[in-house]
Amino acid sequence: MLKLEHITKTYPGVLALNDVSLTFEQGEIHAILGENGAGKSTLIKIIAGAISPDPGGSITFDERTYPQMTPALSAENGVAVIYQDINLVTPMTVAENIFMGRKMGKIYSKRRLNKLARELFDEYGFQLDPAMPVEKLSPANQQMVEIARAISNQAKIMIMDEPTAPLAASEVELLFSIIAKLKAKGVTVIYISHRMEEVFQITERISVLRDGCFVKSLNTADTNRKELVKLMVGRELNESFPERRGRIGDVVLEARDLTGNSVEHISFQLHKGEILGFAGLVGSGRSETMELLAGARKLDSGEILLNGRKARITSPASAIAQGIGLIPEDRKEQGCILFNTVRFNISLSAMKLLTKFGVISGRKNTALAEKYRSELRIKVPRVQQMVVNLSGGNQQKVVLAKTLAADPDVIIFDEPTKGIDVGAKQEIYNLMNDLVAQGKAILMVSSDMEEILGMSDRIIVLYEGLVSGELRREQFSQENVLHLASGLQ
Amino acid sequence: MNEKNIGRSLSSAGGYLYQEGTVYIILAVLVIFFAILNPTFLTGRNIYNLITQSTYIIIAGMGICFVMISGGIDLSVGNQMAVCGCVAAILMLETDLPFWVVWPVCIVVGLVMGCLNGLIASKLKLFPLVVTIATSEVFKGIAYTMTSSKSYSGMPDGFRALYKTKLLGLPLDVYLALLIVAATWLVLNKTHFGRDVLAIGGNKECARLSGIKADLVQTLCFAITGGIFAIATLDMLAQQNMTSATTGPGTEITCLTAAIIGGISMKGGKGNVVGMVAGILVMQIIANGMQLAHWGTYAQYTVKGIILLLAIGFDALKNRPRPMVRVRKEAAQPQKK
Repeated sequence: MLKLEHITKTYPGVLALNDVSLTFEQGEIHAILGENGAGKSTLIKIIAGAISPDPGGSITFDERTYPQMTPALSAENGVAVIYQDINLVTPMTVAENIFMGRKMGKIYSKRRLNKLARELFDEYGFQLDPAMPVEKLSPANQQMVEIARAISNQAKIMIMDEPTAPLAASEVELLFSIIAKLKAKGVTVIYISHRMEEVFQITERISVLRDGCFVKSLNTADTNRKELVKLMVGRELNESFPERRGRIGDVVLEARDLTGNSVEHISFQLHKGEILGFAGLVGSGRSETMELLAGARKLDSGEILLNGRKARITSPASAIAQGIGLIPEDRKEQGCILFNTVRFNISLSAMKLLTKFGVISGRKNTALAEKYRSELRIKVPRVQQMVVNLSGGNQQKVVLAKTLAADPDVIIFDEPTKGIDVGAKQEIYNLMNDLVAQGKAILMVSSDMEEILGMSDRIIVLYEGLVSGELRREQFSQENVLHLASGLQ
Repeated sequence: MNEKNIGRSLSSAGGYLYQEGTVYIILAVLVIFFAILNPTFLTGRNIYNLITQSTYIIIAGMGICFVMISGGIDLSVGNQMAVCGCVAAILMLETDLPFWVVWPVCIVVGLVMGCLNGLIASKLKLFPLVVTIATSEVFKGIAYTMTSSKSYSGMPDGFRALYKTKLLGLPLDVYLALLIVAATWLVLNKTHFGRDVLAIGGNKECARLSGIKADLVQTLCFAITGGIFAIATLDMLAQQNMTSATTGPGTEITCLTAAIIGGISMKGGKGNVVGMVAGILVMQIIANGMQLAHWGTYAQYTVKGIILLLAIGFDALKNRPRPMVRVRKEAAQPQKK
């Protein structure tokens, strides 16, 4: 039905997919499993034609073989992808969205569209009103509209990327019954999910990806969770992490029962000189927890204690004033001002040091920027250079410099090495070690398994907005982290 | 060796003009064009007129700097001017208050109107464009109601002294404008607050996460814009000696055009005061030069519009994304094989 052969995709510095060959049979429900960054999304995008693989591989639909796909070509071959983000024209009705872009009869009749949509809904058991504007629907129902649209397009291969993420339990049941009907009609469903229990419930075959490589395809009936977790993580830890030098001291930050911003009852203690890792799948609430601590989002309930005293954190400004600095996840949107200079960016959080009666000292500002340029080895000819012209690793160092300039006691690193090259990664690890050796405390969110195991002193694992477990150094293993992150006890 | 250095500094000056200097090139071209077209353009008399007529627009331009560099836009300033002008006229002509009371009262009125815009835009997280279109109508209504559509003329001498008194051959308000330009430059380039304004204009979320009170700074920018426009209104009233609810509206478009020509980004986070002044001079020279050439006042609008389109077009052209390292074609060829 669909055969992928020798698919490789390289991005500068990263091998996203490495010689992957996979076969999907007609009418099967086939799960693709893998950790964050295993290459699942890249694979889908290649099938959908959104990105093109490196030359050398081939994609075969029944008899036709292509070296690469385009969106039009993949639609022609009956591929439909239900992405996690919704792609609908929200002011228009459900029926209009389903039949969008197709000529339905000689004249445009809403009533005809509604009737056709109603027939489709009755056949598959959707509970939707065709005449309802899409913007009035819940995210779950909007996703149902996307699925209905794919069905009405006579999709032969339906790829679902985390389809149950926005759904409630009853809606998941509905989705599964729709998938079963699709299967009965001979549609192939490629199902991507982090939720192991769903995979066992509905899929027949499972393919595991790890670090861009194809690991194994198995029949769902012949395997179990333990084996799958093992296949997903069975990797040698080959990156070397610098030796920790400092000693762990007293509690500097304590979170008690933090609730709000889609996380609940988060409690933990952070010690001086410690790196506390936060692991979990994408969307498990790690960054959301950090936003609460850094004052970027409002806390509904719970309290934060700094050095044993209750801290009132109402805004990022107050968090910084009390010694909590955040290095945000999205460097370009949240971390720095791209179209301004390195010097300007480094000064942002440290204005108190640079100003007297509200007037900036240009000399002190340059000195501060030069200090961090040499300390962090930011590769830039002049500090007056625009940040946008720097490489990812150097941009990240600018964000680091900005946060460190405010001299925080607790530093939150959210995905500190996302999208930066190996050399810069090592430098950032060394820097984190230097910081804890100086007695600072670090909270680190990371989706990189090696990084979280290699750098943390303890790991807290989150699952769906709750703490699912805590691991001490001697309990560190990929299996343990993944068990907790998948919500298995 | 020496030649090389000269060549390098020349090319870097050329690069600067290309990147930042659109407005100076336009300015120079216009001056040469009108000077050739009409010999009276470069006479002392005409230059004096040009400067004295530009003062209140230059002051107003400094106001729009704050709101635009902070990433916002304020379309209500024209009608804010109408309100301020009418308040001043009514206070002076109907209650005989002295000008030194009228001045602070008007500035406070301006600050309050700006503050209102800023609070609505930042607290309700609405687009400043939409907010100020709405408040603009509100202010217009207030101005008309207050004046019952009358116009006022014959301001007291004490008030008009700002324009009538001369120091070193130039009216006092020229010095006021210079003072405000210098103050704006200082605030935007040398103070903590100015840095915050540039930061929220560049990336509001990043500024907020870096500990800048972004909503407060945004509101203050609108308030300062309102305050400076009140000063511009008072200067305009001292010059023109008459006002009504229709005096003022239109200035916002002149100022916005001048700002864009002067290199202040519509997206915020970028811009310099000197470019803004040059932008205003471009607008004023077009008006003045066309008047001298007897081309009629209305054709001005067309010419100003075309100049604006050219400036935006040129900016878009030079800001197109380019590869960071240019690969020469001959060098790239052999790799392909």
